Amino acid sequence: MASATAPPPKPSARPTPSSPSLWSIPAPLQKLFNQFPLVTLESNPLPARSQILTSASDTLPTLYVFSSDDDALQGKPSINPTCLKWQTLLRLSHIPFQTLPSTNHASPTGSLPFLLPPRTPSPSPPPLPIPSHSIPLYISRFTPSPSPSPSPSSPGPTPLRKEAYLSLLTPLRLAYLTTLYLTPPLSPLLRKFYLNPSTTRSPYLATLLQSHLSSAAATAVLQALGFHPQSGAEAIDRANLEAEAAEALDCLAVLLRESHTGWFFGLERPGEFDAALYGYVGLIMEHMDTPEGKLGGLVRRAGEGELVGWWERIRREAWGDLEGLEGEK
Amino acid sequence: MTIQLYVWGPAFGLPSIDAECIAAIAYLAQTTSKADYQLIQSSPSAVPTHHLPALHDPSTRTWISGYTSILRHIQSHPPPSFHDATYPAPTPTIQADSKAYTTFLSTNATPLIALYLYVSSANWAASTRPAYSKILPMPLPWTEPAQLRQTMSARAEHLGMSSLDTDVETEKEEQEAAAARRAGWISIPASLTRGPSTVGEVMAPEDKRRIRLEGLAKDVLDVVGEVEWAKLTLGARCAVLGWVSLMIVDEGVPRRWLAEVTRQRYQGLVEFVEDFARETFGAGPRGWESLPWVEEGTETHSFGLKLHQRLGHGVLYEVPWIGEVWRKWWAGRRRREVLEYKGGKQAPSWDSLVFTGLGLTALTMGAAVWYWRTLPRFGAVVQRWDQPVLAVGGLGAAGAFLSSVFDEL
Repeated sequence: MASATAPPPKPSARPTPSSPSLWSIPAPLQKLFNQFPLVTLESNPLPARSQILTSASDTLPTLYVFSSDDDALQGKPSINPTCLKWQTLLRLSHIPFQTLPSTNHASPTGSLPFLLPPRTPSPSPPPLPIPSHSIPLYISRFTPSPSPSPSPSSPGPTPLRKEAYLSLLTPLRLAYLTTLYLTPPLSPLLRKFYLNPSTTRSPYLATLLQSHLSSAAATAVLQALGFHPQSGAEAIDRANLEAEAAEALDCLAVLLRESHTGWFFGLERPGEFDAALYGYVGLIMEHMDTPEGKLGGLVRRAGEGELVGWWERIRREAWGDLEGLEGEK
Repeated sequence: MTIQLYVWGPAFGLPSIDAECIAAIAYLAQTTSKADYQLIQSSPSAVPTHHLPALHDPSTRTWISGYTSILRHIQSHPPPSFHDATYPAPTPTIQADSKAYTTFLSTNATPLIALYLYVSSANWAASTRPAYSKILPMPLPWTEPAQLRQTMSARAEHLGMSSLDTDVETEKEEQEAAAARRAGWISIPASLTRGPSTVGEVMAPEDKRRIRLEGLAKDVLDVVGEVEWAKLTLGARCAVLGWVSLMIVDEGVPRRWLAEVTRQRYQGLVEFVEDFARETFGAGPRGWESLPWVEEGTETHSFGLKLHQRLGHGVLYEVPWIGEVWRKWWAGRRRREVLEYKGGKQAPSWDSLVFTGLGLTALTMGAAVWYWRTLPRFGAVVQRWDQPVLAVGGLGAAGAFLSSVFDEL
């Protein structure tokens, strides 16, 4: 005997035998369960952020960076040196892209930024995220004009010398870390950068996270200086770190003076090295050009002021259209 | 007043076991007459900066550590006999290049040396640890080399080569085997199993990863090998002497991948470094012994620590959690001492308050525990009535009479 034919059609009802077997559902229970669901609710709309994501990511690659929701929507510069480097490089190469705020936990490599190419029509597999070190390759594949990063004019000893000068970013990074993470007057800035976008408004949680961030930064600095990583922030010789950073900036100013194009290593257009340095200098000049920050003064005094001029040039080049940004997006 | 340079002691036939220390010694040997400086063999636990090389300049009341910082200090506060023909550098470009290559060596070559001499278990056990045991005075080899290895391993962490440290792997395997035994799996005794059967199992971890290790070495040495060091400043030349002479260490080292790569592919660089070492320290294999070495503990300042204090701190660092807190507090305190010595007014220290607080807390806790233990157990009888013993004295006046009679008897 067939079970009571329920109004919603069942796709594959078990062919019930005439005699009730051990596994068939008793008729009263079947009736009860046929009442469900009582009401089918409308599905919730997707969160606003994901709507932007779904509408734009069909056509635009997405760069995931440290940023706040609003800043990322407007495509403003990221507040993390590495993210800012790649963001600047992408903007310099005039590849349209959108940014989304994210955290390290979301990244396949464990660190931001990463680039997600535009979504392809459904049958092909979804695009794989591109880790930051492969972004130059992506740029060189998608730049319509001659790409800025590989320099055809100088294949000589420049790449190796570039490596050496890239290491000058290390003292700058250590000074930046000490200034941002380990200087109490700048802790509002740290909160604005890393804590407010990602955490709840709970002050206890924010304090705890901030102390974690600071101790992680202290560990990184100590490790790079050759101290035991657990020696604590107080063991850091700040005056010395600043002197190192000042020397490094001086050397970079000298390198810039050598080049007659106004960009490092005589390139016609700013390249990856410029972007990497802008990652730090841009943030320093934007946020730490204060008496507590001190680093801004170091940039201004470096060499004969070449770095400030360079900073203004690259800012105009990469971020000049930020006011009329909506049109570009 | 002579300046004092605290360095790690000699090893591998080099004046020091640390690249920065070799570079600093070489710079002083090249620029300053022997009367104006002293070299003191020490370890980080003895100096207030907690890092070697450390320079103590009594005339400016300065303690400073790290090769580039020492260089900067010597150049800005030169000893009387100081003479460096390349300071100031002939052109800004030479100055900038020298600084860039020095920084490159310290950021990129240090992790390589860490992999070669510290992370690799075979090399650590066979050559580096014995070398430290020779350098350090006696109970310190128990505490310091292990911490140093931690520090150096952390510096090479980003290269992702921790598998050279086979101690960790062996420990993990043993733990897994023990867990399997506990879980009741039948384990085959080692004598009955086949020995290593594939080539991969026989090879040492350094051999298995040889190609990647060579790649890492090549990334660094390609840059360093291209440079015309003779044109750069003396500071940069001393730096390349320090780092490369440790890279080509091979006496008594069982897995010599770094020395082999460097010697085979970068002969020009190795020749330059060997020539420069001869020029700096004099001919002969141990020319640096004629430098003004001074026995530790004969200095006049008050920053030195006794051996038992250094051992005490070393042991305390190893205690979980407390060691971390202690290390932070002690490093911070030593740093404040240095700043005060320099004449900087420091914010009042809260140490005494913290210690008084900790002492009071401990005292209160102790008192509370003691009081708690004197309380009777919960449910224990608080009062007790015993039936009086029946004796002659309990019988009133007659009893008293009788007992006095018994007493007299």
